Amino acid sequence: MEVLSNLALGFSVAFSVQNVLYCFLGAVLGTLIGVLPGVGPTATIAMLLPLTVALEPSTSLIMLAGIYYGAQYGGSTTAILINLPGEASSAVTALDGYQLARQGRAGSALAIAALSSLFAGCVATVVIAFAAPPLTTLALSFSPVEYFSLMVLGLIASVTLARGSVLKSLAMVVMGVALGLVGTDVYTGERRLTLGFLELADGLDFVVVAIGIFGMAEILRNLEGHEDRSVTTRKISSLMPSLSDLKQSVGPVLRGTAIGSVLGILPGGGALLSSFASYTVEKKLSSTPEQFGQGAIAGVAGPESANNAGAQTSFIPMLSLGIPSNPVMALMIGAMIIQGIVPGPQIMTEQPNLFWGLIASMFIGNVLLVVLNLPLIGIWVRLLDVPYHVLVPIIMILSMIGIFAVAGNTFPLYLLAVFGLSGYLLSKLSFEPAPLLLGFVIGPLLEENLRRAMIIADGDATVFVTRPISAALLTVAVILLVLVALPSISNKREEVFLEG
Amino acid sequence: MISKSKDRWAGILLTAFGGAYAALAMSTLRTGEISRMGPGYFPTVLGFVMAGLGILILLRSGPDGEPRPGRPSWRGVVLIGLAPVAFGWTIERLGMIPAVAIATLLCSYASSGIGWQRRVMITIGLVVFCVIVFRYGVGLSIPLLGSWLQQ
Repeated sequence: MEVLSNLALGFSVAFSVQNVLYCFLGAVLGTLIGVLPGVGPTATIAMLLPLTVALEPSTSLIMLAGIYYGAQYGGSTTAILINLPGEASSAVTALDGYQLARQGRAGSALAIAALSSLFAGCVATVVIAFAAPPLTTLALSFSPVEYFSLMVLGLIASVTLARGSVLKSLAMVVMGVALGLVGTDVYTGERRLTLGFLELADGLDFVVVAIGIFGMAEILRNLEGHEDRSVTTRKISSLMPSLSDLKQSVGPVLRGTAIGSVLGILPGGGALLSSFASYTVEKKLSSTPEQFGQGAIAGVAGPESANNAGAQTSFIPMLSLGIPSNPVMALMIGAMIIQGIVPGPQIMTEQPNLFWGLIASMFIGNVLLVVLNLPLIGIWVRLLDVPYHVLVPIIMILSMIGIFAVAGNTFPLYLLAVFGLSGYLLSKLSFEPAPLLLGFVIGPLLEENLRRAMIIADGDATVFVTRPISAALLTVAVILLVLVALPSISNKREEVFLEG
Repeated sequence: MISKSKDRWAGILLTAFGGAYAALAMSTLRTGEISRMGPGYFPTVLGFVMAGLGILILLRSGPDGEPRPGRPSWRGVVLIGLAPVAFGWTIERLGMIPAVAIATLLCSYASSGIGWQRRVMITIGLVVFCVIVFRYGVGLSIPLLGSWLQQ
């Protein structure tokens, strides 16, 4: 059992005092910010990323992962208590969770949500431990040709499986790749596309792009509407779910975990798609489908386990292939690059401590979340009373100090203004920010593999379709594009993502 | 209706950006050939693809993008956009305390409907917080008061 010995290594890394401490700190900070309305996990991680730069690589990734599931967890808490999902993937939880809360069963719903997430998180972590190594081995046998096709497939899939107009999202991917190329050309050492700015020799600052198009643009969107958050904090009764609630949850949790674990691996899938899929399945299977939307416990248990499993397994393509499947994973890759680690399949063999330590820390993080957060729910709820005019300066100042401290000069701050305003403009034109970030992170790798592939093939572009694995990958990408172009599917797709 | 004209603008913007990007790449970088791509090859292709997608969006500009309601708060756009610039300019010259204070005030004026007393309180609170956390907690070497304020 090689996996077991590897996991043992992972636990020895993850259980060091420092790593447990930062995992804990990440989970708490993530929950704290995830609870705040209008600040999703991507913005949270981007904002806190500068804090982790000074840490050791494995510690910093463990903390970022902690922030991620903390933010997920915080999102479902507010979804249940006040019908305000902190992030898209909790939108489904709000449907029945809030109804349960209105019936005075908030405690039960919260506990079921937490326990379902815990179960799903642990199972999904085992899935990662078993699925990542073989995928890595496969990826290591890839030549630049296959790798390029794989990245193209990943980008196409993340566009078609996520929300937003496909055409516009594709354009965002291309724009992201284009921005990712700014800086020094690896082959010739020439500076390119820098418009003469010496500060851009190392490329556009990844944290700045992420905070600009996610954090700042989000603030500007929120400033549009008038503040209307009349929070009626309910007294939370007992946190003990009844025996019948538990019984009703077993099936949905098992199915939700399975759905989430599979969908999470798909690029663009992740948490959001998983929770929608699970809700639909539970409603179809239920003997009392009319209860859904009125406070069905299965409508909380299923989607909550699915979104947590999906959030977890989306680490698989990131860790084993070096390809981010959603913006949060793009941030993880960005963090690795800042730490001087080259993302890709070689991480598992070259940095086993980091690889297995991160996986093992997921168990610890999930357990910490439940143990800590259930008793602290009262405090989290009170955070909802923090008015937006206090939040805006806090978010902005923390982001700016972080950016300045990491860069050591003020140029990235001016860039932040540019990206924040452009990000807002793009969102006003209904462009999704996520594909841009994916493209930005993958861009340099995409180009490098393309160039190497063309050198190997001596300029013969047909290698992409004559080599079988590459041809298969590209075929899947084309099929996906054709499918979403079909009217019947594209209507269905819009329906699914409308609520998200 | 709204999203139709929105898509038109989206298409125009993309086409312009893609075109400018391709033009920049072609005029400043060596393109090379496909078997030995120069630094300008891939960027040029990307620029054209982007412009092509922009034209497609322009032609198709139908009601598929869900409209995002809401008028921009211009006051917010100006003040939030100004904050990083002001912060960057002041932190180098005046130091952390004035930079945080000025940026906080700018950001707080982005939301309307609160009195100046509250804004001052938020500012003082955030300055104290940043000094404690970043100077004494994390140990950043950003001077509290910059060279312009020191004799």
